[in-house]
Amino acid sequence: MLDVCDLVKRFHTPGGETVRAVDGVSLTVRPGELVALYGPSGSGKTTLLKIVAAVIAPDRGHVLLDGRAITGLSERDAASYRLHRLGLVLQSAHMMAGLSAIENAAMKLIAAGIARDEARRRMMPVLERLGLDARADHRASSLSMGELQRLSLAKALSNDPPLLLADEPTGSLDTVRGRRVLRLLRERTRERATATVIATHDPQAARFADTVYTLRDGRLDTAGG
Amino acid sequence: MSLRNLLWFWWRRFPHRAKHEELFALVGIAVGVALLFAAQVSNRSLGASVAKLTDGLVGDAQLQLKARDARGFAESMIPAIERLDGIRAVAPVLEAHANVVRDGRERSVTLLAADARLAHLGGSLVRGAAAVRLDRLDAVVLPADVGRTLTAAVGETVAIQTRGRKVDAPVAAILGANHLGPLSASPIVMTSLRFAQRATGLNGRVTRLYVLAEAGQSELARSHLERFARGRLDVLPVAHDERVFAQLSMPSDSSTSLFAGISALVGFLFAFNAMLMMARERRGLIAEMRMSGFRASAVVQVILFDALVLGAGASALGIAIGNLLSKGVFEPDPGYLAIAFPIGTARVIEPATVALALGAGMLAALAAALVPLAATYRSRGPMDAIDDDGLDPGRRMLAPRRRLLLTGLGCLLATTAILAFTPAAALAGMATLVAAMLLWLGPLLGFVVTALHRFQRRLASVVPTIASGELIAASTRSMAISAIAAIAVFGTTSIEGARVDLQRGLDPNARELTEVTDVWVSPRGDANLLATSPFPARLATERIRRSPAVMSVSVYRGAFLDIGDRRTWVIAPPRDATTPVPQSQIVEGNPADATARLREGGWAVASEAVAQQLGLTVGQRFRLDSPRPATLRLAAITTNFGWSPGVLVVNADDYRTAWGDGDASALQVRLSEGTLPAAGARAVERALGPGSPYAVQTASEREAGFRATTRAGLSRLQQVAALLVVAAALAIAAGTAATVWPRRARLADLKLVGIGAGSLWRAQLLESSILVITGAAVGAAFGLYGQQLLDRALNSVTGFPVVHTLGVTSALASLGIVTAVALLVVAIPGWWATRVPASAAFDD
Repeated sequence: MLDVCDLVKRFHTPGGETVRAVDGVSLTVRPGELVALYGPSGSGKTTLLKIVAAVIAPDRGHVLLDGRAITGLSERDAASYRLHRLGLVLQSAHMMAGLSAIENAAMKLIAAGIARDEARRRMMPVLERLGLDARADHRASSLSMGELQRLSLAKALSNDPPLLLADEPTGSLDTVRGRRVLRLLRERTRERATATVIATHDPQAARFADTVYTLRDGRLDTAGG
Repeated sequence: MSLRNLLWFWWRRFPHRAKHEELFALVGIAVGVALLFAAQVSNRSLGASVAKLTDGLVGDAQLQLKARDARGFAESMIPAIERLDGIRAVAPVLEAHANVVRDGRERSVTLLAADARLAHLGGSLVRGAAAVRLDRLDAVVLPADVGRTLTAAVGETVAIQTRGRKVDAPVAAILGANHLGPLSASPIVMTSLRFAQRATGLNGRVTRLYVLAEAGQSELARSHLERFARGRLDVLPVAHDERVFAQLSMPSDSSTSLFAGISALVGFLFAFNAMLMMARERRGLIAEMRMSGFRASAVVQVILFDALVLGAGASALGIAIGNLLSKGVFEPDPGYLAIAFPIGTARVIEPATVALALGAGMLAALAAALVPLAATYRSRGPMDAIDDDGLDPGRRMLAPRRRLLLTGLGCLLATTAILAFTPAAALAGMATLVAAMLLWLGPLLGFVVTALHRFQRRLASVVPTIASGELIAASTRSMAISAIAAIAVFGTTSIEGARVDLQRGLDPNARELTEVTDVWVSPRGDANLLATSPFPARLATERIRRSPAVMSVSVYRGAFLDIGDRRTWVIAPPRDATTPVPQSQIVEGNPADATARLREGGWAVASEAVAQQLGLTVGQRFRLDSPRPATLRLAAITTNFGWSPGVLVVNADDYRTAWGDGDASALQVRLSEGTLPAAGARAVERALGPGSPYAVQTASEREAGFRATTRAGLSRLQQVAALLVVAAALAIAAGTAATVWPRRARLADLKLVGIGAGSLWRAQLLESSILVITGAAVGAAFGLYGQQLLDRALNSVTGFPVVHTLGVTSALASLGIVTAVALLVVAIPGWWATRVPASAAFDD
């Protein structure tokens, strides 16, 4: 379970102004629950995800995953947390063009020290589920935008994480492909009891969520389900 | 677009520029320009030193009547010359090798003497000295540099040792750069003609006569002078010495040109890599301008103006750094050239040198700026070329390509044909060899990368996976990194290998030339290394013979004689010399026959270049334009004994006839049975008395002197090899920075996945290692072939004695050094790039 408690993150603009990107946000995401953070650009969604992903530290407040603090981790522990406990899907997928789709998808498993054959064996069902099995041995550079987005999802799910974060996962996809990705996210959340958070300004994405939080100027306005 | 608009546009965009990348480009171009500038200043200063001396002496004179030996010609001939039609003024000069000594300090100099008539020609040198009334001077004028060496002051006395004599001379003046310009650092001592004639014992003689012809009467004056000279004196243009110097300094110039070329290449690589780093920003600007409706010509103007501003700023910085480098690192080193010319060590910065450096910097910036411009206009839509992540979609795969391999094979065959049939064109062979190497490098790298990709599947580490992933997607920049390593190792292996081979050829030559006797006695002075300063030897010979340590004393003669533009080293060994010609240096003709014919008389042995200059083959008769022209036959052809213009060996009697005097230039002393060389040399010194003007050396001491001078002459080649390593390391670092910098988004993504910065850095290092080691190994293999080519080139073009070897050790050392230095330097941009925060992956 993900607990976010009274998070505050301020940034200083070049003009000397202080912007509260995240301003006293608290929320909880249970296992098997898909939460959508809905809001316009600049509302603080991505900053919130960055804090939960332990890539930036909050100025105040804390984040707990299954009771263990995420905020204040050392760089090494933060990397280990992201490798073993977190799955991340971003709007732009930066794959390694020289590696095959399955090698890219299995990157987390390889980094965790799992043998390549075993990593491949584990990844094939995930790729099948995402409709990428026929493209498993193709180079990432030859995949389409939609395939890359699904590959990114496969990589995020490869370590079967208890927490899945997605930043604008449908931002670079058309409506049909976007819907397919959202459906996959919801199914996966249910099946593996994953706590999933999607940051989006796509109204369609909100419809797939169990709970929708609206963020405006860093503040959590409303919640619906 | 008007200049005003271009300036406005440039200024408005200034705050939004990619400043780190611009700075990188600026520094990169500046480094290349600095190296080019420093190398050019170092080299041109030597030539300029000779030109300034000529200018300072001759003023407006157009012709010179030059003696063919150090004894010169009778001054009494001058009035008759002055009366010749077409001649307006003449000025006699006497030059002699000398050694100037004070309180145990000494300096090898050229004694330069003239009278008031020289001032009529308008030479700048005399204007400065005129203040001390040159004509009536019974003293010497020292340039500041010589004065400093001797710690002499005006009014003090220095000793002048010349032609086996020693005279004391008060110092009349010490002239600095304000009077003499760069000549204030030249090894010359100026005095009056009368004083110099007394000091040298050449009373009533001069070595040169500078001639100012009446306006438009130069040819008439020349023909009269030639008739007057009767084939015993040379009638030459005043610039003759500069041409002779150019011929003499050809090997040094070639290595400096190579040095300058490499510097220019380094600058260009820096600029090119830096511009590639800025390509995204530039492409964005071009695309925006195209979208806004700017015409192509306006876009080109803006981009080229950017490059010009950058190039001009970087070149100015480079020239400033180069100026410091030329003072501290690449000081002009006369080396072996000082044996034949009084060359100063002053830096001479000519406008052409500044223009060249400035032009090269601008050209590098302009050429590199054309890359994004061409890429943008090649793309279909204005915005297509912006989304570049550092990969080159068209050239991703490093796969073996048959066409490349076959073309490379063709180049290699062409190289082999050049090596076998036309070694004189060996430098063209180097070009085809480098082309073959670069054509094969891609496929070979592809093979290594494929092997790594297969191997990494067996390893439980993410490091080789990332490295092989990046290598498979290798862009042209990765290929460039490997190519730089290949070129660097190729260059160092071939240049260093050829240098060692040349040294191996010169060392036995030095031994054979010096070991013919136990002890050598010759006039003192570093510039007399080849024993070319004549002296009357009777008194010294008698004194030495009286020593019980001495068994015999023989007269050795040597001199320089200009054959065309070649200041040829003429050697006349003693009559009883066992080996008048070093046997190992004979390249054409029978050594035993050559020795016998030399002893017989009427025969000579010439080096390849001299034989070529005179159009001779073994057995042919030729006229030698010596002080008294003689007819000789060619007995054999040799190497040049390490003296690049060439060598001529004649019999002692033939020399005496052709030179018309019995002066020695060295005495060869054979020691009594059981006397050790060092003890014998001390005995000879004692026999000559204290303060003697002679240097007494054992054969091994003289050999060491030869070796030291040839090593100094080859030092520029060592500098080139060292520069290649440094340049390669810097260029590889620049290339790596240009390659990894655009990858930061991907690196951040890998960090977000949970892969630590350490693993990413190790992956970068592994990738760089594979690129560098593969390139270096290919470079080493081709470098060994290049060494054979350079050996042949040195041998056939310059006539140096070269021992052909296969420098495997040198190749391995080059490979190791380039790899180690490159990886150490490459680690920095790699580490820098992997510091990218994981949060950057969120940025679109």
